[in-house]
Amino acid sequence: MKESLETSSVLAIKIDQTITKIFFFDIVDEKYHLIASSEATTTAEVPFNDIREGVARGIDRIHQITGRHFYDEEGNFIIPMQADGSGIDHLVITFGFFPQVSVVSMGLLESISLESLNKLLESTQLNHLDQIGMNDSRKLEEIISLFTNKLPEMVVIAGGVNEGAARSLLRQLDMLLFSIKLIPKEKRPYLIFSGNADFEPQIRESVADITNYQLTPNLRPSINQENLLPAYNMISRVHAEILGRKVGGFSQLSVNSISSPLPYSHAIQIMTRFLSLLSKNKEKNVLYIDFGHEVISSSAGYDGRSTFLSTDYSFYHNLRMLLPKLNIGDVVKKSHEPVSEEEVKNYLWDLSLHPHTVPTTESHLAIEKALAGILIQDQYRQMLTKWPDFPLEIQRVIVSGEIFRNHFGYGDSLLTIIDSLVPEGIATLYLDQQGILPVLGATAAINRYLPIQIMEGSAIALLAKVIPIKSNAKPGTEIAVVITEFEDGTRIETKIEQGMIYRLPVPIGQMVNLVFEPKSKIELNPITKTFTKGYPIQGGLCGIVIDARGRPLMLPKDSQRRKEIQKIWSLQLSD
Amino acid sequence: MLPDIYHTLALTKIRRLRKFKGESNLVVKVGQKVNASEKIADIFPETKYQTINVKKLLNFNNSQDARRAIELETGAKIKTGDVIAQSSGIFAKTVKAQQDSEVLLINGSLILLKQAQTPCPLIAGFESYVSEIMPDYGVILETNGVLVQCAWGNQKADSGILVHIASQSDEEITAKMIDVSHRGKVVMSGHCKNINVIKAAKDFNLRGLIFSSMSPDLITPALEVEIPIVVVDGFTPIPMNMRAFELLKSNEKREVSLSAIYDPNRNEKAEIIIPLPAEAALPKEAYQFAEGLIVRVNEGLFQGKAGIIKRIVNNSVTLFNGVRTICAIIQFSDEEQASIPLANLDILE
Repeated sequence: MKESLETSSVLAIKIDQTITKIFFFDIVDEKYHLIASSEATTTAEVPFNDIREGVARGIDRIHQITGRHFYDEEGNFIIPMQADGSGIDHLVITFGFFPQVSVVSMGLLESISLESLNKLLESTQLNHLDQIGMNDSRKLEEIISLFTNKLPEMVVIAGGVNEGAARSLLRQLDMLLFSIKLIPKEKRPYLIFSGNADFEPQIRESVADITNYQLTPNLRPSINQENLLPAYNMISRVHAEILGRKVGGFSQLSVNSISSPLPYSHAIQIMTRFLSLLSKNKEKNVLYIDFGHEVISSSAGYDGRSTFLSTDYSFYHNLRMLLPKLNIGDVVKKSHEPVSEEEVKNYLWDLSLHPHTVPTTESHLAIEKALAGILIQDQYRQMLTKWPDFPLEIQRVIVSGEIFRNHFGYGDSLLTIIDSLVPEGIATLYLDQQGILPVLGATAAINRYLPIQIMEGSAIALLAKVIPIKSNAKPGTEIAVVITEFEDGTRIETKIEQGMIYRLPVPIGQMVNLVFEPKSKIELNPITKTFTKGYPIQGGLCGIVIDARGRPLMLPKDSQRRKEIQKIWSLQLSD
Repeated sequence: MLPDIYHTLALTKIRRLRKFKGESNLVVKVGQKVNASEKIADIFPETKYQTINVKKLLNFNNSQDARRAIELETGAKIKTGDVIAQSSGIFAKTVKAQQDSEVLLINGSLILLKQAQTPCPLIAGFESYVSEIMPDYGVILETNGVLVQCAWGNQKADSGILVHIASQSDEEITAKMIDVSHRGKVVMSGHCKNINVIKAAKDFNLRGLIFSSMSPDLITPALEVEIPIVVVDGFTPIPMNMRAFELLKSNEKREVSLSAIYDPNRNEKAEIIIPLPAEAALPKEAYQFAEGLIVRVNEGLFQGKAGIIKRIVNNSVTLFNGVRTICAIIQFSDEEQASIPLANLDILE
């Protein structure tokens, strides 16, 4: 506890192109608590052109809530916290601004350094413009055009195992330097060299006068070894530095931060990796899906490894990029309200014009739910395609975003996630109501107690544990009776019919004992025996959910019948 | 959230930056008057290069001989067909320029040429005068007049005399309503859902189309035509908001500029501009929702209607569909008022 007391109050800022969120943490009763949070519009664009205005508005709100002063009379942060209670001990920043910084990667062989570079850059939020390999068939003038016209802000170079051959690598470097010398000095890219360590002195000598550079340990020190982390950390640092030059007020704000501001993609992966190692029982993997203001992103963690994916749109930004690719018929099919293709098209295109629109009708809300479901499914599929060795079955899912917080009820959010991911086994679903997880990731670098203690609190709420039951019985047949035994001795029996979903009324945080009495042959994945004897389980915001709709989830072909059953399922889980 | 503003003003100063996206050749001066479709600069968005290896092309054995064969200096401008290098002897060979270029660099026997490109015109977008030139960055254009900012535009610009072909703000436009009398004009109407309207506008050489709303199915064909098309309110079929409708109706037969070139990510909007011979102040660019402001509803039962904020209900309320949000009471007329989520309002000031 010594470390956390030394770094007591923390102000964390999560900033993206549209929204600035402020979180204020402090110690109460020897434990970290989220004291207050606020959000304001980001002021990176005209008429402000300086993000500090939006940050100040958010902090003013925190001041109104807590009464605490964060700025001195000259408008500077008060760091550290003063005896009168004003100020903070630490400021941490995580940032979005997807894909505003562009990068070109250079390596040698496709199956070695180029593959590692791809893996490395896929986990960032950089705009990976192009890749140049040893066997690149393009002419020199095409490479020059790439650098002088696209003006990448960063070049990551890898290649060559330590103590290995170097001629090809030096030839690549010559070509790169020849190209970037044609660019005005202030627009030249930042170079990160993460290749054969033997050439660091030569790199220093040849690059120093031309542009900024950083050297990191080789990401492929030998053919069979991969070491991405040092390069990843350096990319994040350089990313923040470049953004400091592009976004008004960013570098001035960063000066106050105890550590270099972390890109969102980096911060969230710290948390998904951490959560995957904090496994209780067999819940080893975790999937985080964030319907952010800027992008829709997902990060999965498994056994200390992580993935990251993001779209170039969200419900609130650039939706017009998605709409031409979207199958409107899918939205119509998924919607639990009867909607026409024309209504879906008009609503979604209007939403692209007025992205902060709140749905005021049942059908508009149903369109948003259907679209959210499609996008979750799409993120999951893409993740499995890009990381095929990642486990297919997700045991813990955390969702975040205003759409879940304000538009959908808890039951709606839950059903949207279940119907998109269709878990085969028991899954635990959470709601990160304020989008705090990436902020905790950014804080973890300076304070390891804070994220754990905040996670133990209510900032990330348990929606429900979902228990799927499989059976070959006909729809409507009673397949089991579930007995919920409460701590006070009360017992509730729920008849489970094939084809239906149930919300057991267990209050949030309350432990119950769940006993299954099968009435026909059923399959519970993975702990059938324990369930027949009684299984301790905690209730969430939606109690406990028993999903007896079967796997795969089959919907009636007749649209009217389909809408009826979707409506019933929605009502079964409604708040 | 800061509210979205769609200026709908009878008289204001309009100042817009036209940014150079690449190398530029300016063709205007400060104080010069320009039309909507007039070019203010030639832009070279991409630079193309050519490398010439003289040693390889002329079969020299060493770089020194190859260097001596080069007949150019760095910085030289060459035309298509000009000799770049030549060998001597009975079987003399020459290397000629494939297109107009500039010699950027000679490194041993390697020549780097920057090839001349066909420029893209940077259009003024509205009738105005050049108030400021920022070298290598952009040009600021200014005028005074009516300004109606629109929800969508097809990234084109032009100007012409404004004519209304719909008697009501909700009248749907059909191709039959456009005829030869509209040649060279900017035509304004209600909703458009028929592609033949766009075809007719092209056939009759219209200078622009203003719709209250347009079917999303027409987005692709609208982006393909050269005529500027602006949509004032959105894609759901709705009548034009009365504030914009009345402003535009009262300015019928005036020269109007449609500037549908905009970038939604930079908070730029497609605009209808009617220059007027009067001086005015710049509009306010940042508002907070407040009582008395004129707003437009962009979703639900009242979509497209303009009204005045009567009161803001500061506590979050739950709508009948379960959505939690902050609402304002909007007065549409003496008899009609409704509670509308703040998020569903645009400011029309």
